Amino acid sequence: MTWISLANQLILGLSTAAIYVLVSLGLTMIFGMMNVLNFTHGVLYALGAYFSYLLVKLTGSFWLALLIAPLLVALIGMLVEHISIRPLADRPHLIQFLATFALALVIEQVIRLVAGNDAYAVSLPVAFAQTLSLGSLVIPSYRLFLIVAALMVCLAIGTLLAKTQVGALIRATSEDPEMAALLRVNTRAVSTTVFAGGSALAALAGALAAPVFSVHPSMGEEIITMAFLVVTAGGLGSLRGTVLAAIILSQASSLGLLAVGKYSDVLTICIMAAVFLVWPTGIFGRTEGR
Amino acid sequence: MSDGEALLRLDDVHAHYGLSHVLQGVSLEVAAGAIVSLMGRNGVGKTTTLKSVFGLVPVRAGRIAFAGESLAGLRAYEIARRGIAMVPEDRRIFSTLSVAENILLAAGGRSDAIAEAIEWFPGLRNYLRRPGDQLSGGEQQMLAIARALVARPRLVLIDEPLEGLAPVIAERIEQTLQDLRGKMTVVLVDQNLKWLMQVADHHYVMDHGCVVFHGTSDALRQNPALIEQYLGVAA
Amino acid sequence: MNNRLRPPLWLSAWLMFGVALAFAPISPYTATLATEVIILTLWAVSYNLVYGYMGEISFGHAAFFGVGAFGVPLLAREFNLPFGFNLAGGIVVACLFGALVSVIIRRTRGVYYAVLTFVLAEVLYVVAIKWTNFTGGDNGLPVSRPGLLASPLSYALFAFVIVTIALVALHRIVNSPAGRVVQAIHQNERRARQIGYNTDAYRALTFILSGAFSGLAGALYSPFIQFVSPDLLFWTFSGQVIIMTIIGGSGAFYGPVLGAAVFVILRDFISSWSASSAVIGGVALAKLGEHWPLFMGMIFFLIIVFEPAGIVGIVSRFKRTWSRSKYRSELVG
Repeated sequence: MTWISLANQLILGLSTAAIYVLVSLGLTMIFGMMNVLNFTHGVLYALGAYFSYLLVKLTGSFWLALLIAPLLVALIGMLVEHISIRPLADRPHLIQFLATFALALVIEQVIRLVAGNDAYAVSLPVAFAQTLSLGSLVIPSYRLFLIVAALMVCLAIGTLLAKTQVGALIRATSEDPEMAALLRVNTRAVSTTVFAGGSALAALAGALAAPVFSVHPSMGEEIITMAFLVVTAGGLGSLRGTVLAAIILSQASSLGLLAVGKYSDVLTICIMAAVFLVWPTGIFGRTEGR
Repeated sequence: MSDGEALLRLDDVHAHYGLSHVLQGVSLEVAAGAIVSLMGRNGVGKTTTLKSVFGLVPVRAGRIAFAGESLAGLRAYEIARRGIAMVPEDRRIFSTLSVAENILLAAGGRSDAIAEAIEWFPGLRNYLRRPGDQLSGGEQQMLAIARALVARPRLVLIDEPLEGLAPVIAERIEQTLQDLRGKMTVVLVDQNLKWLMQVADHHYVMDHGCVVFHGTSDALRQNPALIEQYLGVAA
Repeated sequence: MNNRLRPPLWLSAWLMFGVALAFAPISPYTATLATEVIILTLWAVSYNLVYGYMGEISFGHAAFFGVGAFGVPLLAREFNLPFGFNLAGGIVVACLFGALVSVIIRRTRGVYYAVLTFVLAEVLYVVAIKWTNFTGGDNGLPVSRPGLLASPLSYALFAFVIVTIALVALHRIVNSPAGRVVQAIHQNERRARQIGYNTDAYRALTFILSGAFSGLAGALYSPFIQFVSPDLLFWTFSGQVIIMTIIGGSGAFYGPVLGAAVFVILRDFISSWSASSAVIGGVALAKLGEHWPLFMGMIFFLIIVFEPAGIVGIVSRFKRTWSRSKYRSELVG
């Protein structure tokens, strides 16, 4: 194991973390707002990838796809919220969780029905198709782009939440929706907005991941497994917990590859299990589930 | 009082908390511009009555009308937007928002809101940036009241504003609430009978989920037996 | 309140099903289908101990099923014991796994319970996938069953007998004083603790029992399909038992029995469309037949939204309107 291979794995790990962060941020924000773990988040990610494939085919522009796919999925997300969470507003949150699980099942099957079971390839955008050489370190520039993109999104979300009126609305409604309503806040609109935003983020992650992980129907299943791990290990509702857990998870996987080779998955999952042993509600989680 | 004068009117309101029949036919009227108090021992349903105005507890029977219009079926935020504000018993300051953000949120982003809040409570000026969970009880209470007032409501419901406060702060708040006279309509819930009789025009005494007496401060003073029975203390 | 000597209605119906299985002329295919219903019934009823009676969602129950399923060929390979011991061994391993997990999750409730069971099952899945020498990895392991049980019908009857005993045992357990304590904890854990019950212990016991019987179901399953793979450990398989339990109805002991039956029959019915050449609305029926989870998911969704008590709830509604109309007609005379 050389410094080069270490640095290589580190960066690859960070680029995977970037995808995980983008998916999981939306998931944890939706939980923070509505106390529902949105099972459809995985298929929304997949839809983002599929839509971006279609849009690239239609327009030839990866960047246009990156812009439009999340918007389309945001609309679908609002539909999901409308039919699975709103009608069950006075039922326990776990029931809403199961309703999203049912919908996720349906949506994945629709994807398979319409697009088939095969994988589609999306080529890297021309701007980032080459590799970058820093000394003897050779990295695909797209991976670096992923890291930068995720950083920018994190910054944007952080700024939105901390510095803007909208952000204050979101934070207040997440903390105490009843009091927010007493202060004339249309809490339903705020919830739907966060749901749409979270869905858009998932779709963005899917569109960004498409050139790297290919577009296939089980990508929703695969990512939701990771996303659940990340958001719970980080602490449901905690944004920095999500980022931290995503980095831990992906680095455990990528560095684990160097350490134990093909058993890196086992190492990763054991590290995550260890995290839960120490922090049963996640690193930055609340002590009692809301 | 005829219906035309009453700003808020509850007619035989019944409400439940789960299986418990908390409000058993509450009727009261609040005239525009008046300060009305809701009195009674702990657990008689005073807070529930306030909550029922916003539909925060399910109302099984009865009618609640604001400015002559029924509030049935409206969501809490829609009711708030009609011009009713509430200062809840536990204040419920948003802990992740600063004092300034709390105020701006309540005022719908209006830029002069903070100045307005400072007019009510000059002390707020000193800790505008402080997050909500780092405020003392008194500071929270002042913020909670300021929050309600910057929304420029027609009616304010205030639940136990003086509870657990140091006398100096309590006095400050008493003064501010007294200054509301004539400016807006207030429904006040509190344990301090002497103060309530001083600041409010009309009193509703509750017991076991319904109103057992209502009248002016004088009427109340002339009825020490009632005070003893339902309010548990000598006036 | 049931007369002690008279078996509950569901049990009578179940036994009649067994009699039909034994004596009616059925094809090997039907026997296979029946076996699957029988085994999944046990799994769903066991699952409902945690979901319906205790009130938590476990997303990791496939782990128990899988552990039991893997137990049979692995124990056969390592210890060369007769078939029955391997079945029992599957249960024991499932118990141990359940005990381990319940220690980890003893303080968790609600959504954290769901996700933690999800995660811990995922651990088992990843280990199983990677430990190719032990588990055969992606390819899985072949599982044999004794010659006596080689035919579909004989295995069906075998499974029926075992599952019937298990169901009676489970029924006894949930209606025992301890079972009622668990239900009380479901209603109001704080009050149960105030009365003096060690709620963590009761919950752990329920989880382990549920896991043990799920393990038994799994141990019956792998000789049934004569194969076992780590897919049985994946959370999507956990999803299946959740669907079965809820569609059937978690509020009654027999709800999951109905759910398992409906699940298997519906899946089989839709999958059979693959052989058809009909076209509906421009879509080939055959294509739809491959996507039975689509219909299952839609039904699951509709049940959650409109009749959360499942088929049991629908049956209750019918009974009520039926008795109401009877009453009315009696009044009118």
